[in-house]
Amino acid sequence: MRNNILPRVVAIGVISAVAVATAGSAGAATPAADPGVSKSEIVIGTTTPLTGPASPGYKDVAPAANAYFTYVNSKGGINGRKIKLVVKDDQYNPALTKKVTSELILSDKIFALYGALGTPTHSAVVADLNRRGIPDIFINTGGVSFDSPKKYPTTFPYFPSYTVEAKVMSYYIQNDATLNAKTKCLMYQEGEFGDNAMAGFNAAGLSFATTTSYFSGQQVAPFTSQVTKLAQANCDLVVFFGVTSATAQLLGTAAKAGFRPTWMVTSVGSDPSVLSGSLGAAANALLAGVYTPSFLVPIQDTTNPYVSQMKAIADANGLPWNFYTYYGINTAYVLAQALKAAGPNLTRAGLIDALQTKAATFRSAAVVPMNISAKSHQGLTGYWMGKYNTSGQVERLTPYIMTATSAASGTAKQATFKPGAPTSKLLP
Amino acid sequence: MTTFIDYLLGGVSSGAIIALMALAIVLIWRSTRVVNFAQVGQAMFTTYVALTVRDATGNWIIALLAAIAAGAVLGLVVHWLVIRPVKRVDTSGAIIATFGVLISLQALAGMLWGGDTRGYAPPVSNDGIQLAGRIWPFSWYDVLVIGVTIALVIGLTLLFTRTNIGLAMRASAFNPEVARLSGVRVSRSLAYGWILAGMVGAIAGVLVAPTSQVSPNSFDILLVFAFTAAVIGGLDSLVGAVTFGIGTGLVISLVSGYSDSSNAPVVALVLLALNLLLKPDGVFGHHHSRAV
Repeated sequence: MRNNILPRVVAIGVISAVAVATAGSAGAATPAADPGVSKSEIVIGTTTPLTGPASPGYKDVAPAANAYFTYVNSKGGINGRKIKLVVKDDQYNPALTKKVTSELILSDKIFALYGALGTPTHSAVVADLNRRGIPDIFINTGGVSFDSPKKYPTTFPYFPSYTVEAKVMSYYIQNDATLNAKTKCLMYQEGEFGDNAMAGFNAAGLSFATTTSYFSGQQVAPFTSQVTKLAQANCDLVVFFGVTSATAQLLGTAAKAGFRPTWMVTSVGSDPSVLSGSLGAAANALLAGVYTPSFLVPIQDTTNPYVSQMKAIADANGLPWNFYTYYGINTAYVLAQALKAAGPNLTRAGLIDALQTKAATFRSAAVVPMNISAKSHQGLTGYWMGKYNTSGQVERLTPYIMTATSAASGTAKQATFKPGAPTSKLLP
Repeated sequence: MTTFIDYLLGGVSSGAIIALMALAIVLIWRSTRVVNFAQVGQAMFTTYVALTVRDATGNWIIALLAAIAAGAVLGLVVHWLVIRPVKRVDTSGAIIATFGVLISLQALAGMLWGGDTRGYAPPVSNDGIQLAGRIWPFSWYDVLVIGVTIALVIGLTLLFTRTNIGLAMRASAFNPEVARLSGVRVSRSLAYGWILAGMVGAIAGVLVAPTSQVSPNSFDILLVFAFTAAVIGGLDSLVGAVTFGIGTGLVISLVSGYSDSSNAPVVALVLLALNLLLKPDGVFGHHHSRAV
């Protein structure tokens, strides 16, 4: 028996050594390519509500991004590869998000996920994406929890978080004597959206005479009780953190009750084209004088080289020119630059590294700095303050910008930032 | 005190809308013994028809009539194509099938009219009435909605209790076989029920539209409140549906006003649960007459 052991040990040793050597040599010769990348193609996936209650406005984002990728492909693609964007409709339903994201990973074999939309929807898949090491680029949500390189190393938000926005609003109000002297009140949407905003107001030390809220979906009926509460408290500055359809209902209900305070509305809740769809002819009159922050070059500024070229891409594809198409083309443009920066030998790790080390060099229509490093995946860091004019356009009020972090403490501060000019023909 | 009155008025005006939708649900139950979850979908669809007609003609009344006609046709189509074949198997199948109808209608509306939210201007002013030196959150449009609701309840009650068609419809729903033996054309009576509910739902949709917005899903949450009101009201009582429709509006308004709006759905659910525990047939239900 004893004699038999040695040959076995030797045999196992030899087999193991051969196996290790083979694996090693294979790895050194041709690195196992990540899924979704071939010599001629990069497959990117996205999940977004194309239908369903949250789709108004948001459904325009993915087609606009696709229009930009088609444009880039027609000019030769990125490092010789064409981008294929696979768009999946999740109806803003987390259960569906799980299903379609699995499809993207397992059957479409995506290289990266881009522009996944919504806080509750993306929360359902973010851990799985990170576990599989799939880059999760420029998610369309301001949810604070996603900016966590330790917990979610492959996830990269783009627009500033709701906490940053609340800090910026607070800074502007506190530094404007007229606004600061008003009786300030707050109305917000229940849930993480409103909680993130509250964290920002608390950190900035902005206190409200009264606060009220609504639950998502309640906006199908008039906000009479909320408006009554605000009117009874003699509020003359009302800050509103809610979705666009709720903004429409709030402005309509307040007008009915003859309640006319100064309004300040979140950047994600006030697209004029969507509001005029639901408020009709009255939209511009109701919107005039409403304050709202923004981080892009004003959309109506068609003399700006970013706006004019992005609008041309939207027009060429028969897409409407609104905040959502503008935003979709803009983030697609930044993603294209990141893919280019990751080099001809495209890997997932390479893309993440490019984002973490070269983000400062990426051009975009954003007029605030982007903060992406190995330590922080914050994305855009601030806003300028604007105000609606009588033709439904947001006019920029502050020549400066206001920046902040998503942390539960700290306030916004004034800053200046001069964005670089767009790359030639808006190609990466 | 004015705060309380404002909450009351606001509750009544949003409650009237819930009441209208509850009325349509009760109508289907009463005439076919099916809970129609597609009711809000049908109302949404006919409201889009009204919106299209209104864009073309600029006339609110013609648009309303078009919606009512579309509601009748749609009710009949749903009955013939979906409910009738499924109901031959069993009633719970028919109820589940109405969910399928709801999803199909929402998808179809999205394809035909797009997913964007659209506004629907009211025919009379929706500005608060100015009285005694202040603006009250109650408009002439609210008066119109409440007026139509009351007129519908009276009209439908008369139809069900004073006409042969109404009697035949009740008989067909309650016990189709006995009704058939008594010479009632059951299939036709059931179809009448779907047509009638489709028409009432269409009126509800057009009246709801100015205070909500029109999109393929914009009436979804109304279904929850309308269903609550209909169940508490006893499911087969028209007066019950309207009373508790307005009651639900009041509860939402007062709870949102005096505490937090997130408590409103919880309070509504607690009331529903209490009701099912203490009075499972609904406050206005007629259990005993059926138990014979």
